[in-house]
Amino acid sequence: MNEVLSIAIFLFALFFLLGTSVWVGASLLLTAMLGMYLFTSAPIGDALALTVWGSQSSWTLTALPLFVWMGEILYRTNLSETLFRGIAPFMRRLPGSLLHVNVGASAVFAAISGSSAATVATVGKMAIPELRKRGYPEKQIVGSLAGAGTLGLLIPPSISMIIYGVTVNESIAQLFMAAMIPGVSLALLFMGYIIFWGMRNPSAFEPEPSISLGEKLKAFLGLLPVVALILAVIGSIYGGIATATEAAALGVLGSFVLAAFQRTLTFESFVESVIGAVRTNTMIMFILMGSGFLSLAMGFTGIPKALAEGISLWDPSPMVLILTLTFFYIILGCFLDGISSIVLTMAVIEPMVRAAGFDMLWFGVYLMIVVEMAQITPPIGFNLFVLQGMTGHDIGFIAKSAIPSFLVMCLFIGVLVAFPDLALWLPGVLK
Amino acid sequence: MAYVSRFLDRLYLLGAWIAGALLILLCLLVLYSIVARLVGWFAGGASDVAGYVMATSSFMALAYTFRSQGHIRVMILSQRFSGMKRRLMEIWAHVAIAAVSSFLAFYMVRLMLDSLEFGERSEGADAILLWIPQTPVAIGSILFALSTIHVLLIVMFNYSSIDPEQTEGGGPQEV
Repeated sequence: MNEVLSIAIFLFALFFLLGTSVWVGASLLLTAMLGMYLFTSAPIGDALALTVWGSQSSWTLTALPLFVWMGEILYRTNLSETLFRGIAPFMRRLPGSLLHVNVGASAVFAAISGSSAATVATVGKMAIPELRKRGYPEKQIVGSLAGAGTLGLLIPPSISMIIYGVTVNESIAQLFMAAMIPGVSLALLFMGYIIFWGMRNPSAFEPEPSISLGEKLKAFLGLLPVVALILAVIGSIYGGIATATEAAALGVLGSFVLAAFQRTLTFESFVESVIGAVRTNTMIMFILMGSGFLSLAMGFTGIPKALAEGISLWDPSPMVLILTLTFFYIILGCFLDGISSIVLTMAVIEPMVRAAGFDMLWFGVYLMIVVEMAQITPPIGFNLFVLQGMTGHDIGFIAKSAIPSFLVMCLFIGVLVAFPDLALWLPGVLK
Repeated sequence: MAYVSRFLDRLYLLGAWIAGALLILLCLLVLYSIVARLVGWFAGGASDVAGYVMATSSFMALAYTFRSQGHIRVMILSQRFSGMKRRLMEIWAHVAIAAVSSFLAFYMVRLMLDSLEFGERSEGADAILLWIPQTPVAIGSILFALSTIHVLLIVMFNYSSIDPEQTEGGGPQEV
């Protein structure tokens, strides 16, 4: 069968279904069924049941619901307050002052939660009103939060990273190691931009009164439980003591200890966290069912293989390929959410990227950043939606405020291409 | 009709509660396997069982998540339509998902029946008879199919109660 024709059929079916607001999981399943029907004589239903059963009961995937649950528990604690009070005293004297709290608190929360939307929501809950009270420009508050909130995807643990790892069969623990240094570097780059802005606009807000050393110490002590939780989750993976799933279970346990410690753990919040986790998890699982089956169907058609061969023949420089892919993902991200764009494209992109000789750990880190960028590009960007709900500004204003963060991320992709060891050094050392 | 609809909603909620209980069980199971490894207790097959528990949990909650508008879809185009056009598009989307979920449910049941007939066992350390974990998964998929047909009927005959132009619902969550 002619590959170009089959690609056209797949794309048309998929975009028709997605465009007519059929649920993402169902669109993927229907496209895959159509593809199998047209291009193979395999029994569609039986292949579907086997694929779905196999992927949904896999041990690797069990990290996912547990990390989702952990995020739901932490979202219901006083963590936003703890983070703000703990980090603010240390950021006071940098140019841009408390705007750095947006970045710092996002990075810390990202290190215990796998979700970008939860990061924005948690940090923003406390930071937005506090920064407004001190007269910071709205544009900077919203912009820095929109950008830094996306660190939730990059800094491990990350739900999107688990999904990527499961999709391309890479070790989730290794991926988590690869993402750490790039995550911290990107956070520093966001802070660099705020310093740049702060130096040019030194009097755009009220200066912070200085506080005593004792109060600083008290603020830092408040952060200790959070630090302990980070060590339990990421440390246990990096130390080789726990698999990703085990670290997630430890994280759930640790989050309950933290919530009990803060006296925010009630029976209601417990039940809400469980039901919230079940809903989010099931939503993701339905998409994963669809993508798993679509990958199988794609494999039957030979499209991924043909594309991989095409890439080998074309032999683009890594720079050109990465530029093309970045452009592609940003466009895709305008219409799709992060998880959907990862699972949707991996069946085709994976063989292509492997053929071009990229390291899949490095590519995972790269992919998280482009998907992060998709979270803050209109018209569909979930961080924009979350911020819209929290600040009451319209999407256009929020998207415009986020442009500097977007450019910082573009710059960081360049850095990552120039210095791939940012991602590859740590997994190599800890192996 | 309203009575049947309420009964079904309770059923989906029950599924979600079971899914929640299984999520807690999954966490306990993984914690147990950590402790077991440290102390040297037996925990063979714990990872396979964890997979089955997760699969059951996900399937049990599919219906509830669908009914409470938790599944993601792209609304850019449909939001521009209103009135009859919007309604037709909603009907189309619901027909599509009802067809897919019914197809899935049929074959998940068949997979379970095949496992039962041939006495298939897991290839993992647990060597469990596969129809045992596949049965609740099949039940969950039937419940999901039921919920999509249920909502399709509501969209066709009682559109005003869930008109997306009036009610935006809880909306999907995102990670």
